[in-house]
Amino acid sequence: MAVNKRRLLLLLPIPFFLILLAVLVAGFYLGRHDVHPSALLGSTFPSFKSIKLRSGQTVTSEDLKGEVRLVNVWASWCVACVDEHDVLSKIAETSHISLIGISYKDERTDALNWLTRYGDPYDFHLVDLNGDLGVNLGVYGAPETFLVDRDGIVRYKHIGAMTHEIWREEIEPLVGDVSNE
Amino acid sequence: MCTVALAGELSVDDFEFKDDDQAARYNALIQEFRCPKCLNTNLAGSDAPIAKDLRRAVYRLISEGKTDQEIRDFMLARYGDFVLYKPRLTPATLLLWFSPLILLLVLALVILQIANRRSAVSLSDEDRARVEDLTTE
Repeated sequence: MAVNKRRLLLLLPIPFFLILLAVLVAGFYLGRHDVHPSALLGSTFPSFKSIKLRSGQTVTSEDLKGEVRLVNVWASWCVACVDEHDVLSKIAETSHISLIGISYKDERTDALNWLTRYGDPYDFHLVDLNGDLGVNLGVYGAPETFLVDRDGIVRYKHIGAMTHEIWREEIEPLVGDVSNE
Repeated sequence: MCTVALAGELSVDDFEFKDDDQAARYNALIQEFRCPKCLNTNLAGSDAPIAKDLRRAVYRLISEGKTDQEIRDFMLARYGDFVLYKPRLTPATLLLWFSPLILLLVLALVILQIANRRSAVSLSDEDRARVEDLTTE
């Protein structure tokens, strides 16, 4: 009947709205940890040549390969880095994962003093004085943490302070996967 | 933190370009890219440290002779689609581009239906007589 057809069309926005709502809610829950998934996921860690923070020894992207690494971008001027420091220390301690620091846009003395004050659970630190390595990593700022597999492929990126929840739910499972590859 | 500048206002960076063409390309490109740390500012209008770094990267790439598209690819490879002010048309962004249009069409359809309904109401002769009776008292 003509009237029913009109009624039906009038009600069309409702299912459309519900679908839209469902999409938005799903998107919210799916994306809550990964607001902007790294463009580097699945790509090789950017090629770089730098020096180690303490020793001044030359270090390149090749030196990261061969082991699963948790690469953490930090700085003494970064407030949230203090928050995540205990979390990272705990993670390094219990999981024995290789924790590598990138001293990001920081004066060497400031960085070293910070490590003396808060402790140094890292294997070593790369120096990125002007942020060029950061740009190649798609870094927004400090802190950020990357999971890199044995072949130097970026498997996960976390923007912001590391939490036990993120480690447990998002990264640790991946570490298991990549270690068995 | 991040300062929102007026449209067209440029942050002060001391970059020297080989020629005016390079300078013009630089100014155009830094308006195309979103400052990653700021929600709605381009590289030109942001004082954020990362914006400075990216402006410097654009300058360096221009000086190295890269084309505009190569510079866009550079940014995309590192920062993803979010760095472009104008989203690319990909299957993922189809909904983003077309949902306003689709929504508009649905609304138009609904409005049309309402309009038709109003004008299409027709009473039978019997009902018309009843209405007349009721309204002329």
